[in-house]
Amino acid sequence: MSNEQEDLLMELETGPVEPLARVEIILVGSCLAVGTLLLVVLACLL
Amino acid sequence: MTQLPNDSAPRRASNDDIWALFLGLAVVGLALFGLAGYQPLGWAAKFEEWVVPAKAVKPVAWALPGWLALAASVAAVTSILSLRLVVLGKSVISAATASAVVVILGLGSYLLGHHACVAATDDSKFVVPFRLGLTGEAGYLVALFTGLALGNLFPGAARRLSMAARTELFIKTAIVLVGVSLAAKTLGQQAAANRVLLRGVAAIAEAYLLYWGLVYLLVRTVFRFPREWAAPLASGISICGVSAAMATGAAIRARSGVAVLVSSLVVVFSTIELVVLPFFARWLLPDNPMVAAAWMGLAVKTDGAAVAAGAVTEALYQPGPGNLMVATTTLIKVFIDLFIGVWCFVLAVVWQRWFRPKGSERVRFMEIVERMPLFLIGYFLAFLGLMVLGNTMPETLKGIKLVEGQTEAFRKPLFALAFLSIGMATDLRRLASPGMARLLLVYLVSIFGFIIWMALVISWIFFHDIPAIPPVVTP
Repeated sequence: MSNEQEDLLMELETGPVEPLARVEIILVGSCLAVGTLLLVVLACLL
Repeated sequence: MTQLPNDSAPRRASNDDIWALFLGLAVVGLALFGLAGYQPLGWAAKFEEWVVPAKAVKPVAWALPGWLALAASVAAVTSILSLRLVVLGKSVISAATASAVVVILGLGSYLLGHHACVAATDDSKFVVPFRLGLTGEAGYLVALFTGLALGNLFPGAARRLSMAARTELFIKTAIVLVGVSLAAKTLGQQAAANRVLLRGVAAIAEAYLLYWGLVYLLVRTVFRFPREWAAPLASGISICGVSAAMATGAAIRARSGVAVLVSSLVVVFSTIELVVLPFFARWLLPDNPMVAAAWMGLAVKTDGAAVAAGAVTEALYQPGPGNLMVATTTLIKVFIDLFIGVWCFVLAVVWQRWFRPKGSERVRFMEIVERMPLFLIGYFLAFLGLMVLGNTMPETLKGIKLVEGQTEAFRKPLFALAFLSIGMATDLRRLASPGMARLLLVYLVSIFGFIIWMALVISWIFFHDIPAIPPVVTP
């Protein structure tokens, strides 16, 4: 493992927490909603 | 896709991708002479179950001794691998040596797996003290364990051979050839082909939208990782392993080490899934081979391990000739691969608009094209080309079977080489690296906590009513 990778892992352990942004909530919410809808539609069609 | 990238991995189509497209199409192009009744690849070795070594190999079509066909196959694959390495600037001697050792180990393992004690499924054909009944596909597992032993017990030797042990090259070339196999098996059974193709669409919705969203949410809220880690992790775990993690890392402009660390974890876990999941599927779903095949495509990350898991699953079910199991696993993986470019473009736009400093480099639409895996072109050319030909000119059906016979003689050894390479690239010591514990936990919770179970349910919904062998349609 390179020094850069070790530093990255260390930063992951000790770095500040990034709060969840509204855009992230919208992105994930849209993914889950559209994905579920698509699967339901496909399951009904097939 | 399991080839571990280095920190300076290029963003554009990889060298393996281009070679896979070229080699896959070259094999298909030569095999197409089968349409006219000629078999220019008829010298290639076909592996059989054996007790007497002399009967282990025979040529596809030509009248040759088995050992000569094997020697010809070894020489052909070694030459092509060596040529690629020489073109890339390696010395002829080191290229030829590494290529020859990898090919001999891969094909040797595949051959060992065909021994009747391991492979035979029928008591009447061989007299052996015991038989595991795994079919010749067990050779893939022998190759995997050979690779694991080499990579973890003799890492120095594995490093020297790694230039020739290219999982991506082997599996992508083999996937182009699976296009031929899928067409040959579904020709005349358009309904079966359509059903499998349409169900592939469900895989896209599942991988990109459900898995990605859930993993991202888990990583950001429960594990409190920063965005720079969350997006590559979500893509690596949800979509298609190494290539998705690397492409996402590049799209959101994460530091290169992030995607490399995620990728190393993906490779190790894919290998574990590959060894465990097919046997679990066989136990859990004894009467649903197509659900199991689809499950492998949806649950096992990285193309190589997923398609390989499909092959092992097929061996465990033994559904018989003409079955669609490996073709289904491959098709699902191919459908998922198709959208990596589009997904990374979406992420790049979101990150540029909301999370990157003002004035940073703009996202270009061409990035979608640049991230499209090229070997998929070969797969669809082979599949659609033969489907159109067979459907418009039914008299070519016999010739298409000859084409498939020749391409299969390359697809199976390429799978064996991919298994060997996956094993060699799987560094189990990575799991014990300091600081990896949280990453490991994310992966464990995501894969075994919900991804494989969701994949199982969705595979069952979409594939439980599809037979492994399409019924013969009588006009």
